[in-house]
Amino acid sequence: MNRLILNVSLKSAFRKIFTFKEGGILLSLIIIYGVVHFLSPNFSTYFNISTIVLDISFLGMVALGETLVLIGGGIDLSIGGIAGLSGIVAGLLMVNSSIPPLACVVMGIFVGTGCGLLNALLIIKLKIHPLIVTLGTGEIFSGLVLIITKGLAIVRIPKSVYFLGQAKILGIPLPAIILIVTLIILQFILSKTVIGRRIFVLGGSEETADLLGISPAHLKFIIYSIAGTLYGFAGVVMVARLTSAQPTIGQYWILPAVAAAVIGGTSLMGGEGTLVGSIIGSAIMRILGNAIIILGISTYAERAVVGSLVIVAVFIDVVRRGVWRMR
Amino acid sequence: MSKKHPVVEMRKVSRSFGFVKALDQVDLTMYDSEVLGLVGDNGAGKTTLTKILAGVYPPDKGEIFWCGKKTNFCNPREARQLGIEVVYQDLALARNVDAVANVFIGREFVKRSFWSSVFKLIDKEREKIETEKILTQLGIELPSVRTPTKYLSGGEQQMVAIARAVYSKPRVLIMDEPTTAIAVKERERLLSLIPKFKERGISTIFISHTLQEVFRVADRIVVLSKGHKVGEGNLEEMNIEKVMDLMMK
Repeated sequence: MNRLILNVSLKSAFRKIFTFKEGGILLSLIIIYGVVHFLSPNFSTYFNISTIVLDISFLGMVALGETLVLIGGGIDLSIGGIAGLSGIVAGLLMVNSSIPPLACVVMGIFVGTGCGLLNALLIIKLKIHPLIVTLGTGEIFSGLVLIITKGLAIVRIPKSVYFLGQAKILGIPLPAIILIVTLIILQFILSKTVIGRRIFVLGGSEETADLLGISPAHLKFIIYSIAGTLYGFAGVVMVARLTSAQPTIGQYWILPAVAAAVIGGTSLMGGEGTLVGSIIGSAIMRILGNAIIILGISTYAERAVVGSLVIVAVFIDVVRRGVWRMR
Repeated sequence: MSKKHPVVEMRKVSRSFGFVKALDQVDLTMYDSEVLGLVGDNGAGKTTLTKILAGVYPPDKGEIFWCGKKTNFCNPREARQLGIEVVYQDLALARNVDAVANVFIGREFVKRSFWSSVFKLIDKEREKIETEKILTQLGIELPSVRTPTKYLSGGEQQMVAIARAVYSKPRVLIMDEPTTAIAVKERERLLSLIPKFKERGISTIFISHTLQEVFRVADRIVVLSKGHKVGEGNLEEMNIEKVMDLMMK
């Protein structure tokens, strides 16, 4: 009898994890963490976890922007270009002008907003697929970074901005706190507001949105400019973390950001997605990256290892969706 | 309401797409609380006419009158505001969201407080109650109004599309091939709804390839062929053979 009760309660606990929307992917994260923790004593140190949390903050920030774009039915491949350009402009202003450093930070972020607006404008007016537009603009923005910096980092960033990338509150890195606040705000917008619901509708069917009087153009301007702001934010905070504006900031962010969103449960087809899932996806990507270094796995094997684990994570999620659907 | 009052009048409406003349000088009048059957073969111009009335695109030539006044609505939102609603052939549902969201797309209920109106917070409870109310009035029962519509059956999805269209008590409801791709039982349920629309003062344009159904529900029939109006008459004047001959013209 006791065994029966235990079986039943275990099964319902099991079911509960799997029916919670991000449950499957959270389970994967816990398993991956557990495995790496077991394999290496150096993994769960405060210093290492702190570094991972910092890495997750940057990837998570851009993944949130990408998730918003994907939910709305688009895609944004200009993450690296926007983050880089925002960081460089902020750095340049800080070092070469008398504008207060924090104002330069804000202006750098607004560069990101402007780049996002440009993406939206081109997608709407030229009616070209966002994949192609943002691939192109990403290259343009990255090219501008190289033209401005000639490949060299901008150093002597004022100390007054270091705190953005380096401060800790109650042991938690400030970028992580900024990420959590951003997550809460975006989640609120998506789940409680008219705009949020319309973004889902747009991603589900742009034609339906249009036929029912919702302006796809208006929504796309909002989506891409918010995304651009987030990428710009990440780029500028990275400058504060590195204490220099490197032309390579954001260069390798695009694939992990899209991967984090998809692992987290966001559909590439649009109309479905979860911001929390993308944060979990970012955590999975960064823990795996860290684990490969800590466990001394050959960096040649890194791509194959990460790729295999991405497939496993997505598979778990697909299975979970089957369970959830039966509810 | 007298039959003499036209709700919407299309006069000499034409529309081309490139070299294809989809509609050529078509006159169409809808009267209060009537069911107009619009029939014609593929390519006759029925969907084009629907989309012009729905505000999806304007006519190239001709005029549209609403309750006797000339109008120029140029987008779906204006058409909906006038009181024209459409149940499209493919339903035009956002299948990733639930029935409640679909019914209230474009006219979401916002909570009545200062901050709610600033941030436009959706009043989800009120929307749920209203959705369940309209479904009950139409005699429809869904497993849950909170399930994403892609998990509903074809007939249930269509009911959501109909609930969305009639919720705002439109003057004109256009149903484009509503009985294609639904089961027999659901077809019967749909056809039994049409008289209910009449009772609510809604004029319905019923477009269908299945002439038996059109003859069952319509008061008047208009036949289109290759972009022209080739026949018009009330139920006493028309029969299936006559309509089929006209469609082949």
